[in-house]
Amino acid sequence: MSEIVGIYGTTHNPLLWRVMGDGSAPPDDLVATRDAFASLAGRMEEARPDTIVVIATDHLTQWFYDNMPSFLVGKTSAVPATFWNEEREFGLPYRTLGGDGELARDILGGGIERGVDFSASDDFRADHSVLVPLLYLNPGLDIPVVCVFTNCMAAPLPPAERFFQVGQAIRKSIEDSPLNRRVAVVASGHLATEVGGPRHFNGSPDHEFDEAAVGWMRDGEVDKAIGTLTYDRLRAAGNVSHQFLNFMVTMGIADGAPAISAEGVKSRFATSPFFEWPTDS
Amino acid sequence: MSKYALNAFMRDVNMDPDCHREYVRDPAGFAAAWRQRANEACALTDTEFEALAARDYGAIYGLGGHPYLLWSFAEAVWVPEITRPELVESYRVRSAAHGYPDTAT
Repeated sequence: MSEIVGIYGTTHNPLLWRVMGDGSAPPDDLVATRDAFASLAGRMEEARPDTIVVIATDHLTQWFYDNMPSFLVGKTSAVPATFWNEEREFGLPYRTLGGDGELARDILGGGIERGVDFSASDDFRADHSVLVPLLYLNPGLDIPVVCVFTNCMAAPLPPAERFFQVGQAIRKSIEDSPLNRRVAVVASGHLATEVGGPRHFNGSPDHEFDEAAVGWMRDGEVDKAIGTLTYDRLRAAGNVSHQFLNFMVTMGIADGAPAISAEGVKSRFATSPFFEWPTDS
Repeated sequence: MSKYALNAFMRDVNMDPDCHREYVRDPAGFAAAWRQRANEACALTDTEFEALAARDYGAIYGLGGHPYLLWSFAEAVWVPEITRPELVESYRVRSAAHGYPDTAT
């Protein structure tokens, strides 16, 4: 059977890449962010995963209004990353990630057996929501991935409780997989964040939300998180804050356990989340 | 169908280098050609067309274009004609006039 060896959550803010690149010489206000990435990277390296499952939200690049799944498993053995607009806007590199198609099939099938009607793709491409966390957590990009797409962009979104349930189903599907993989999971999301609205590019638009949200993860407050994370509350926190819901998936994978570490790191950008959950539920 | 076409237009310009180049060169001309070749599911309203033909990000925001996509689009088609900090500030002011419109298509 396969085993979950690490559960993490972090930011994918592509402006971090534009400003600090690989993190070798960050400006002063991003040193703490760089260090928080390095700390999670060290934890993941110690966990020695064979595969990284990335829970992330494509930004209307591959998945658009003409064909928008709620939850989708990418099953490809190679995952091209970065679209032209991301190279232009953020200076992100084009890369091709290795994909663990076998584990992807087990997550897809296991999810469907457990009532999660995943969509699936044999032609999956990754945007910065997948690549940016990996560039910092596994800079060699040498560990195969399974990408699980979630719709946090095009309303109506699945409710927070559904994200948690999807996490629970993913956990059971991985543990039932006969592939004997050591699996790390990385959720890619935001705290309060606004892009393309009246409060954009001016630090966190909602410090109160950030503080409460980090607290739910730290203390394992599943019901409080589910009860609070409505579409409207998330939009009030910032118009793209809905990607916080991806941390509900990892909270579900950890079966609601309090995080080992939970931190919101302030910088010139929106406050960046850094979470790690225990693997023994 | 409204808003879908608005978003589809912005996505084409944002993600296709040829569309981007043509739109920046001749916004109204590109918008007219795009409108003509779009299928029925992707029909722009006259108001949407006028906003796109004028690269008017404030108006597009007010019409409910997806804000993430709209910011990326606005940066792609206005910078370096104006600087990014100028655009950030102007966009902030012009979007604030509309609050948070419904973006559901």
